Amino acid sequence: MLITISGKSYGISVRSVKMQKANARWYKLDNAAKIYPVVYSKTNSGTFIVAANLYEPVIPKLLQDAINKLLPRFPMFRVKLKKGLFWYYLNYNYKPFIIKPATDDFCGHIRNNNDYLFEVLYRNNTITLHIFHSLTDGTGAITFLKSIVYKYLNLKGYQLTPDNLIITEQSVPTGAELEDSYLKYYNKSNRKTEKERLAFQIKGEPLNFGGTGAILGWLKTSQLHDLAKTNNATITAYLTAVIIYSIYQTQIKGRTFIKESTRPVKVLVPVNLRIRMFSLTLRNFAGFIKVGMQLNRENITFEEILQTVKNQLTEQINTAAYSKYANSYVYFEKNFFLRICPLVLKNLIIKLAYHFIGNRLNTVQFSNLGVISFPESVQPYIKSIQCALGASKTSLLNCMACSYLDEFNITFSRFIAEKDIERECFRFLTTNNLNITIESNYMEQQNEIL
Amino acid sequence: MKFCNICKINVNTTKSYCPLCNQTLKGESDSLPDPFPENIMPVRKIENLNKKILLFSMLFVIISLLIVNLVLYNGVFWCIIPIISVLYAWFIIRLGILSKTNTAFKILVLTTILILLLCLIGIVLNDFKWVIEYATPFLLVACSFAIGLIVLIKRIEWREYLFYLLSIAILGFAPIVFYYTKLIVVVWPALINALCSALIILGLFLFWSKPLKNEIQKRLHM
Repeated sequence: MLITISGKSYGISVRSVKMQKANARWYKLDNAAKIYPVVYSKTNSGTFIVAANLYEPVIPKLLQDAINKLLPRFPMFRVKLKKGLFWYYLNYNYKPFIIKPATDDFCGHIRNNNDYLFEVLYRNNTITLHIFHSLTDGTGAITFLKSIVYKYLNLKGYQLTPDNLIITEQSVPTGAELEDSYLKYYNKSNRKTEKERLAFQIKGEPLNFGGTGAILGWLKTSQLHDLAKTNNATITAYLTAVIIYSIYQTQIKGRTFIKESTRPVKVLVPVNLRIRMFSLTLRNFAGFIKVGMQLNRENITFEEILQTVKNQLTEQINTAAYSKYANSYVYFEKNFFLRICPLVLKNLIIKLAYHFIGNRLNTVQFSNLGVISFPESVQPYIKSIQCALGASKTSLLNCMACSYLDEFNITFSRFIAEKDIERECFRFLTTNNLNITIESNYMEQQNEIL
Repeated sequence: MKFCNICKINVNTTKSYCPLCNQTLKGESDSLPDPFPENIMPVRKIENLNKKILLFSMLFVIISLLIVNLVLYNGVFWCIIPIISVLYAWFIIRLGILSKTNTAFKILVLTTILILLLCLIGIVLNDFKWVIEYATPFLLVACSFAIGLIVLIKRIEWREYLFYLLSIAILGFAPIVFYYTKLIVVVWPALINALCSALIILGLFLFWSKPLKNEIQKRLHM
């Protein structure tokens, strides 16, 4: 390799350049990412899924080529998780990345994957990006998926243009993409200090043989938008209210005298902070809103719940409220005693705090990724986009939604056998004249290998 | 598309019942194959069972040795030596063979455990000078040689071993400290160890200063 400086050429071996680059590639985990390796267990995979359904069957060889070409552009994904003395960190992964056919382990553990923290799976017409939450959040994963799909279609021979909506391999990874925005936008004075009440916890029996049950609902974005509009609500507010109402109908109504029912049903709604804080990071950068109400009365109507949800969301629609939780976590991370604590001890402290307090402050998580947009030249090849958040023993039910053109996807993932809440949600929507198609992985029905 | 009359919902599946209410579906499936792969009942992993059998056998031997020693007690706790041997054998299998962690980390930890266990044997025998005079320096030299060899022959990911090499080299000065604190009398094994450590540290800082600095930053960042 020759480098020309002031008209003179200097020879540098390619190997040494590669070595220097590889040497520099390691990343500290961002604030949100730090919790996932600690709480990772047999019953908590800490993963989520974003997937693109194409109109044509996926050709694995082309998909592998697309990934191979794209990975150098996304260095923050080409990593493995390592233990330091005080914190985990992400280190450059030298091993090759291999795509796999999808298995029945929906949102399960990422194993036997050459230490990579994400998988690219294919089945029929679907390209799935299954990713560990320490790497990135929903928005970061969607950005990566868009690039994979774009490159794949490009390799298939279609004439496409990125239109500033896709990160292509021709561009260079910037510092802004790699930054820890939690630290950058940390505001010590705006953090959550008030004590929070424990939330109502969903009850249910674990699935017979473990795993995550998934029920996906497909509906028309325009229909859902109209329905939400007639109720003077946004789609997120409307669906949050539907989820709370379903929990009330199935888990609380008729049992309001039980002590547990006095606890508020709280829905954790992650918010993408990138837009509000002008961040370009591809790592985790989400704030949170909590919407909740006490439901220990009989005859609570949906309208009442929706009004409360709308009021609470309106109160919290400002950047300061969004970043309150994030700032309090960063404040905790910056604690001197926690920082000097060895990782083994730190893991114990964080694990205990998560299991006894952190995780019991929410009933359910509902994450709406919003509208996923692709360039016009790519749209004819993509039918829909879907997403799902893994459930765990400590977070029995999760919900994730996104929309692409007029296709709205809402996915419930559950750790329990009961499907009452999902059933109530979908029945409520169908009674409001929405045309819904559902899909399930029928996790309750497992076949024995004979 | 199949349809559930109870939920009033379309179901895209090849199965015969509604995933929400278990009601039999009407209509014909138009999605072949199914959107999700067939669920296979998970098979119990034999590896975990092996680990449990190993732990059970080790604990059984230790308890048996303790009981025999206590029943036939003649003023000496002779069972400590076989117990330590069994314990170390378990460490070698569990950490050295079955664990998937970094080889240098395995060597470092197994050497440290061996030195500690030898010290324990020395205390039982009322003579542990041989451990810190001879066993410790030679084990540390052997350990640094093994990790150094890995760094030299490993073509990729060798940087990850530098931190362990530095750690073992720093530990290598311990025997010479023992000499100056009058804990040991024989000095030549400690000197050999200190010389080896000095050579390793010099080599590390001369040839691999950047990767070493990088490794230290990675592993010790707060």
